[in-house]
Amino acid sequence: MNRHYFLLKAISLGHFRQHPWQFILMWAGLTASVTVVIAIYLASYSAHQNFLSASNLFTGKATHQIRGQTTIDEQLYVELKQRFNVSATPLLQANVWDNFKRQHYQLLAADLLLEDTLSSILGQPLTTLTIPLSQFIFSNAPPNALLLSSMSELPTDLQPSSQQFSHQNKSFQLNVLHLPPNQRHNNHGGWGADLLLMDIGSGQQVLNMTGQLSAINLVLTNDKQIELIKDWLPTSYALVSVNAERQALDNLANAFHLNLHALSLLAFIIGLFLMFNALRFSLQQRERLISQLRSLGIASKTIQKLIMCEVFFIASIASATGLLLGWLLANPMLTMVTQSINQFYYDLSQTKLQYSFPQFFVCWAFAVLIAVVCSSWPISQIAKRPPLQLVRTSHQLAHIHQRLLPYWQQIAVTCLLITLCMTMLPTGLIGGFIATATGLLGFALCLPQIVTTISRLSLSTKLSRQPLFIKMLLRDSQRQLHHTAYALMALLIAISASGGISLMVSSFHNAFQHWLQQRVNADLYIREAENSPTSTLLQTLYEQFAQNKQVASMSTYMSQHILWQDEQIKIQSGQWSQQTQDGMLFLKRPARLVWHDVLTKNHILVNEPLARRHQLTWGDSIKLNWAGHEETFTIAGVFYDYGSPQGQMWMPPFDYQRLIGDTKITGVAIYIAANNQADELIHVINKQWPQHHFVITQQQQIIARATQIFKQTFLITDVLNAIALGIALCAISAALMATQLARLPEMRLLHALGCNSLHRAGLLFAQPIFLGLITGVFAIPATLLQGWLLSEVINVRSFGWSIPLTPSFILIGQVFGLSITAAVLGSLYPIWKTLHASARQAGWE
Amino acid sequence: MAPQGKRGWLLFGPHSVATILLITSACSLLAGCKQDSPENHAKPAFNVTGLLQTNLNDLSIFYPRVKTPIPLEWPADHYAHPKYRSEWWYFTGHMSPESSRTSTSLSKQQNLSKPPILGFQFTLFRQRALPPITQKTIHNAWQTPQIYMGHLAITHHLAQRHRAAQRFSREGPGLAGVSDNQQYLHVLDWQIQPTPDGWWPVRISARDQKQQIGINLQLFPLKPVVLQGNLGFSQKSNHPENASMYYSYTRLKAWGSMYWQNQSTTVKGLAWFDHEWSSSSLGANQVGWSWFALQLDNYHELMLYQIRNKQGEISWSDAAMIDESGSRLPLKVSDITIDTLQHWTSSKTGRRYPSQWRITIPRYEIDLDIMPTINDQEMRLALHYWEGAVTLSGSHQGQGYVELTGY
Repeated sequence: MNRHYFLLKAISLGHFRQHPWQFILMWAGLTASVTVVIAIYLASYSAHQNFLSASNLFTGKATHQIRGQTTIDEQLYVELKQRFNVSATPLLQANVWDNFKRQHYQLLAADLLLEDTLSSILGQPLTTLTIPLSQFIFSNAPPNALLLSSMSELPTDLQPSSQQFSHQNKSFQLNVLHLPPNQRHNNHGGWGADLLLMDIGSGQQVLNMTGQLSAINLVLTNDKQIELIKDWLPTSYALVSVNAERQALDNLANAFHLNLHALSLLAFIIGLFLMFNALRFSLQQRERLISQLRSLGIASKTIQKLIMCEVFFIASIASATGLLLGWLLANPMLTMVTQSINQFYYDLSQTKLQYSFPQFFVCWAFAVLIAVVCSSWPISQIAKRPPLQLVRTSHQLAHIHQRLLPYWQQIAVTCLLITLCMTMLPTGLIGGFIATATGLLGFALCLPQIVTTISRLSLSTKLSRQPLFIKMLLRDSQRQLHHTAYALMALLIAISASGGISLMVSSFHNAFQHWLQQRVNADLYIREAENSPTSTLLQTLYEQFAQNKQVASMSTYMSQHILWQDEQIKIQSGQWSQQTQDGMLFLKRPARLVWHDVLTKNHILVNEPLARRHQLTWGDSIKLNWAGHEETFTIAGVFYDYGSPQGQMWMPPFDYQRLIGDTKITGVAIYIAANNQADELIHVINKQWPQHHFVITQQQQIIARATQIFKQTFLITDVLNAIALGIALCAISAALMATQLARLPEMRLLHALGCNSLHRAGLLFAQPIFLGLITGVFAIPATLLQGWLLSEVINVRSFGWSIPLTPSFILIGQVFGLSITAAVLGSLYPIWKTLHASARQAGWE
Repeated sequence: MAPQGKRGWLLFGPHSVATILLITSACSLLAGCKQDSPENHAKPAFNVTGLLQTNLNDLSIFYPRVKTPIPLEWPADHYAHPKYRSEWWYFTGHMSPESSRTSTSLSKQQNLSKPPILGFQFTLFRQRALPPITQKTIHNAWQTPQIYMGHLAITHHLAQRHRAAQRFSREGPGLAGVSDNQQYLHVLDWQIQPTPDGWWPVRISARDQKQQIGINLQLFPLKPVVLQGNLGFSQKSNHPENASMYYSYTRLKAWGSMYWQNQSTTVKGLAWFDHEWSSSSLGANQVGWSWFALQLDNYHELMLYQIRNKQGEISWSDAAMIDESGSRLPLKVSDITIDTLQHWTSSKTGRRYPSQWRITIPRYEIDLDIMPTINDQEMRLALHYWEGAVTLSGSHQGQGYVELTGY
């Protein structure tokens, strides 16, 4: 034990005391890795939990839900209970506004005297809420509500407070009974957000919905029973599988979360490389010491154990630091993630960070384990090698050139073949990420061989005419490959991945802008404000403006949500002018043919995300059902839609009116005649209908807002990309710096042979630049491949958006520049050191 | 008459206690009965004693009271009396597979010495949550302050098993109560479906998939109605307002089908029907009762109950013999001797119930030994009580049902 302690002190502590930057690099690498991964994990996990919690508010433990296109007649529930006696809960749901606190609440009204309510919504009976419950149901006071919340600070008593709420311009008084904190904890139900729970009788009263329900929750486990209920249900109602629907929505967001995790993993791998490289370098520096210890009879296993302990110690500290920093970073990350989710998928108001200490412990242990496992290979290699080989550079050169390079080439070819297969075959999003990862790795593993080949070719072709400086540079590049190969591969991976992401985002931005300019091509868009009284004013405006000379043309919009394949689809229609039609961009089919078809009976258009999700293409038939009326439609075309991954369909007005039976206009687009201004027309509208509830938006406002949303959405991507790139630059610079520092003894010899400072600095500077140059050039095709994979594979499989790749010279220049920058940064400190060190000081320490 | 706390536990207790506890039962015990562990059964949903204690100074005084006999009319009085606080319809019976009995009609000559193989208890309870006078304006059907509960229990004598199930619902927009046009009384899918305009024969149907039990029976009285107490006015304690309206059909022929393990068996047998409504409650010192509804092989029936106080003494009792013609022959306390011969302790709840009795009525030369067909016929539902099929031996053969609460 004493001997081990002595060795530990000699090998580890002594070494790191002399080279503290190596300790710092190892610590920083793993800390940065864990920080990013934990921040993303917590943000993503919390967003997911918040989503489940929010959806549980309405569905609870229900497996199915009966919904109508609007509301449900409560007699349907009565008949359901009498006929099937299934576990079912009638529900009313509405968003209400607290007039005093100026805050939104979700109001949920259910039959609180029903066992099913308590188990399916709340997850457990409110046994201790006897008095409030009895008051709830039949008391003479104003309708009572329970405020269930894990978010707000609540009093611990049950004293009701009378509060004024409003819903759809109607105000009402509620006696709110706060729930004591010890009764708010619920592991089964979904008391995640602020929720007002009422009895259904009072709910119908305050929401003015007597005889109506929003939905019926059911807990159905028997397939036969599910079929019986489906057969029994009137056609205007649908039995929806809550799990399937939740899963579908969750899956959409899962793609987003997976993308985030992939980005964070990139940062993790690069950070891990930083640690790995620092460790390798520290081991190489201690090769002579290890050789001496082995010569003294110390077993290789003992040395291995001691170095592993050293790694474990550093990894433990780094992981703990990373967890702390990740936790701190997770809050702003969650805000950004929630922001993106809100733009894309569903409204998620809650941004509570969800975590548990066991999770932290598992993450800590996992990070330490990965660090130890990654370190075990170089440690075992050094520990096992015979003492004599440890001090012979020739052996290391032979090892890399004769064994590793051919081996890496074989793996590279395999990786690139996997990329090809995963891209061509329907392997899903995971397959897409595997293709991306193997593509990067394949390119990276080719790089050392390319460096060697270029050096050899350069030396062999015009050897006699090359200056000594160039010869030394080329030979050094080959000779130092066992030091630099890993750094170069990591550099290529980092800048290609980062460049690929930037390429995808810039391509997406270009495609989005083009699509936006095409789609939003009217000068003015007018719609009725939400919650405004029902009126036909928009129809009147449309009819009057059709005769107005200031208006060149107009389009109308109508829309309705329907359920199709357990998914909520937005059906759009309207009288569309030629300009509006021209704004639609279609996949794989000329617009002329698409519009020719769609304006004949029973043809529809579907958006690209929906088509991708359900493998639909033009010519396919689909059945749509509305209020018991089912019709078959043929898809005339698939249109680009970067607005949202949610499903949308468009059908001509005659089909829409026949299927939906509604002719109410929900929006109008106005194309202003030449020499007229939008402001003038807005002035006319305001003057003619001074009491209107219109929301009037100009084209530029919509485009500006959409662009802003786009930027907000990709903020999280940009931040992660920047972090990953920052870690990469540090890692690669550090690796190259370590390589150059290892050459300082050579510089001592050159100094002694008469080489001046300039020559020595030139050698130290030129080699990283040479390697950075090769890496930068080779990174360009790797970046293009990454950009293509992210745009054409990952985005299509994640969101259903195909994005034309639009590479730019600026971006390629950035990739190249990053490579050179990393190389320059890595050479600065060794140059400074060799310029300021005497020949004696520059030797091995 | 039946003691109010027995089948009519809803009748008792002050408003503030009964309503609250009733609702609590809806919340907790229904969830609780899903698991059949002793831990869950050890704690009833609410305390029966609490329900039975009387406080006439609270809101219950605003309910209409049963103070004197009320003239009854049929079939109208077979249906609900919604202004009163509590009401129940109670059916018990003993059934045998149709093939096991050769007789096609159940008459005086029916041989009750042949033991039936199935016993059933089916009860609908109604509770009004607010007195009519304090009731607010009802904005919709969900706010109607009527709550219904159903209990179904089947005892399989051969399998020596007893199973019970429960339904619970507010009246709501047709979930429970008397249907439009008085077609049926129900709580969710459990029904009492009378014949239009005449009530008899009445069909009772209830089935529970989870417990795999069910009944679908038709009932027709073999004897005329029996008005318990004084012309149906049945007093429960020394306090004059602790009373209910209560009538019985003590011998009905029953036929139809019963479900056990979800297997249907065509059955016939004899049943008993009680209907009682009131707004009053037990006295503060009363804690439970023992109630007997016995059908003798001499075509007589015996109904008797004893209400106990906290000291374990009999604080109120009533008994009557119903003769062949259906006439009610009241019995004095001094006419009857009841001896408890054995006790049984529930392993699920730990409650100790009397389980074997000897009833002696020298005036009618009756000396009966009463034995449960199965000891464990404990109803572990909203309330924990014992209600089970019994067989008679001794001076007469016969069958019956016994209910024990407050133990």
